[in-house]
Amino acid sequence: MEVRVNNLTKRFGKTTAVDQINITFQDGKLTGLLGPSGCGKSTTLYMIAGLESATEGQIIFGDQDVTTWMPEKRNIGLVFQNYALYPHMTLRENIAFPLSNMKDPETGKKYTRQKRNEMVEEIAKLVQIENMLDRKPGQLSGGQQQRVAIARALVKKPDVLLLDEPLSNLDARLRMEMRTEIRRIQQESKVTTIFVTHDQEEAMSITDEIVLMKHGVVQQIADPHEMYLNPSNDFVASFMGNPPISYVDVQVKDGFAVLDNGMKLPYHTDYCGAAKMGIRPEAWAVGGDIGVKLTDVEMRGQDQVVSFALGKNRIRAILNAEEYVRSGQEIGLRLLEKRCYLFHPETGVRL
Amino acid sequence: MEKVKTAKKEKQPKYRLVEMSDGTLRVRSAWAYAYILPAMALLLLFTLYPLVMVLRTAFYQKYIYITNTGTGFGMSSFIWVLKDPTFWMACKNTLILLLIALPITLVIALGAALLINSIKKLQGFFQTVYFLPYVTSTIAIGMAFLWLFHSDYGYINYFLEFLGIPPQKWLTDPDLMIVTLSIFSIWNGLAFKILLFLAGLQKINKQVYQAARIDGASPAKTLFRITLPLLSPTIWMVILVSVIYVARTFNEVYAMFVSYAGGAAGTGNAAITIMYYIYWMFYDQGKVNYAAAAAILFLIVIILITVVQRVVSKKFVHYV
Ligand SMILES: Nc1ncnc2c1ncn2[C@@H]1O[C@H](COP(=O)(O)OP(=O)(O)OP(=O)(O)O)[C@@H](O)[C@H]1O
Ligand SMILES: [Mg+2]
Repeated sequence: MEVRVNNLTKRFGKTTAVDQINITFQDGKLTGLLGPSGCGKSTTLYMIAGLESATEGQIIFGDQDVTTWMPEKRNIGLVFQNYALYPHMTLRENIAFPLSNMKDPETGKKYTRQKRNEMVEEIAKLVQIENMLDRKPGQLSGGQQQRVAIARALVKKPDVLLLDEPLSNLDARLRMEMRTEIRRIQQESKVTTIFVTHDQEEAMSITDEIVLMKHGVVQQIADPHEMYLNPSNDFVASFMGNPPISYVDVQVKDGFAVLDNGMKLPYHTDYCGAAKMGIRPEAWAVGGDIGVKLTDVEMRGQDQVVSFALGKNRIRAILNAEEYVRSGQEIGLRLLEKRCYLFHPETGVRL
Repeated sequence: MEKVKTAKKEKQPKYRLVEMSDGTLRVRSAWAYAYILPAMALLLLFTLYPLVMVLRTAFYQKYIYITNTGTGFGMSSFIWVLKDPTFWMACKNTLILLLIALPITLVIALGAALLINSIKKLQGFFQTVYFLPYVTSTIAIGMAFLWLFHSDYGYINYFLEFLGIPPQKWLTDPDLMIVTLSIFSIWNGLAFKILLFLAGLQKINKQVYQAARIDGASPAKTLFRITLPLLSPTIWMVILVSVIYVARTFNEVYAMFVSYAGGAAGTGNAAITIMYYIYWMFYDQGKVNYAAAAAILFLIVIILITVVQRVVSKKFVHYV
């Protein structure tokens, strides 16, 4: 089911947590709701779930306006950041709990015990916890608890699956595994999914589309490629990518971007005037006539991150791991123009 | 050679590490016994010694308190107590307090705690108001209740009259006295239980309730399937504490009924409890060996209750 929010706003007293956002979450797709801490991701998610009321605006599921509906009427599955499993129930009871509150659409009556067990076991297989259904949540690892939470959210065949930073309690390795799992489960169940995260890498790696927010305002909505390669403002450019993009203040004219100290970087554009130029670390390559002195070299295995000064700005670049460079060395670099972006010096909007 | 020996001597530890059944290591040291010695001494002197003395007294057929001498050894004191109708009245009243008044208290306290917990504003205020009776002495509250229940001047009768019901002799009518005592006992037990229930409720993760809403659970179902099971350790703890507390009801009787009836617990001892029976036998009737026998019987019952509670808690309480 497609989910749309129109001019959705949430105010807590004087703070505006979510400010007039318009988003369409496409049917059957996995959409990432991304942004730094406190930007209003959870609030948006809870408004869609119905646990928070909207101050203004509408929430539309398919063609129905559900803005004022109670959460239990919306047929959603929600996975909380700390899972919120029922600690006194076994996994089987946890997963069956939503079913015990609904009617079987086929018969119009309560689910039979047998049907309920079948559904629980089917979903347990999907998330691969079928052999621990008689345990209690306290006897599980974090990753297993998360699967239970997903199973409980999916068992009632929700129209929308909402996940609030479900991986934030896991260690780095498990997080990588579980995000692929979530992707697999989502693709197998084909449920419209909204995935809240503050980790840009996580968002880029598994989502079909990313909504990037800041201070309750949507900055850009795009698929991961587009968002990385074509940022609409400097915040988006800074947020996506690790190591992050570096900036220099420049004057652009005649095929060059000129730094404060007179240094010239080749850059071809129709724009002319002052700009804030963002340079992705991978825009640099060894062998060229831009001479820099490396201040730091960080070997990462497949590549290396080097730092140097350009004018008064510190720049970070990713170089091929085979180039043997050391800190303090002077080398010549060249610049790949299409990995450089110009932003308005004050507003930060892409030029 | 010599050096090695001294080094070894110095290293000789004063304690041992012992592995417990759950795999943790604990320090074992002979000093531990020294540390608990003062507490043990007090326990022996003020708990165990009196207990033995009570046991001894209970088995005398005749006993003189002043000289601490007894004659005849046997079960006769027990038999006398078990044949005494006042003892059975005390048992009946204590049972009424335990089986009727206490469950009512628990339900009211739980309901009040759930209400207070669900309001957002003035929660601190209500919490304080409900806690006040707990820090006020039972005797003082008893005095206030005495006046509330007074058959001529009391507010309760005044209120009943208002409703067209004739005034009742709450404090002197033998049939009504246990009702009065129960009401007092209920009221007096509320504060502490509400407080404990509130603490238990506030420990439950709020997101579990949000999850229950998403899962479509009705408020009633949330109460019975989520709140009460998660509160069950607290409920159980409150029951444990209050069963013993109620079984020992004494102050309430003393404060409300004794002033009307000399040493007895109200007219014809109608409001007597087991604790008061023991007290009454001792101080009022001077039958120390009977008081001791009643105390021993009471102890046996308390031990039985404790055993039952242990069994029950294994079955019904969700410790998570
Ligand atoms: N109940 C509340 N009352 C007042 N302010 C709130 C409340 N809930 C959230 N806020 C504020 O709204 C803003 C957005 O909060 P929200 O929880 O949506 O952030 P978030 O993007 O989920 O952050 P995080 O990544 O840290 O979870 C924050 O500034 C927060 O302080
Ligand atoms: Mg959040």
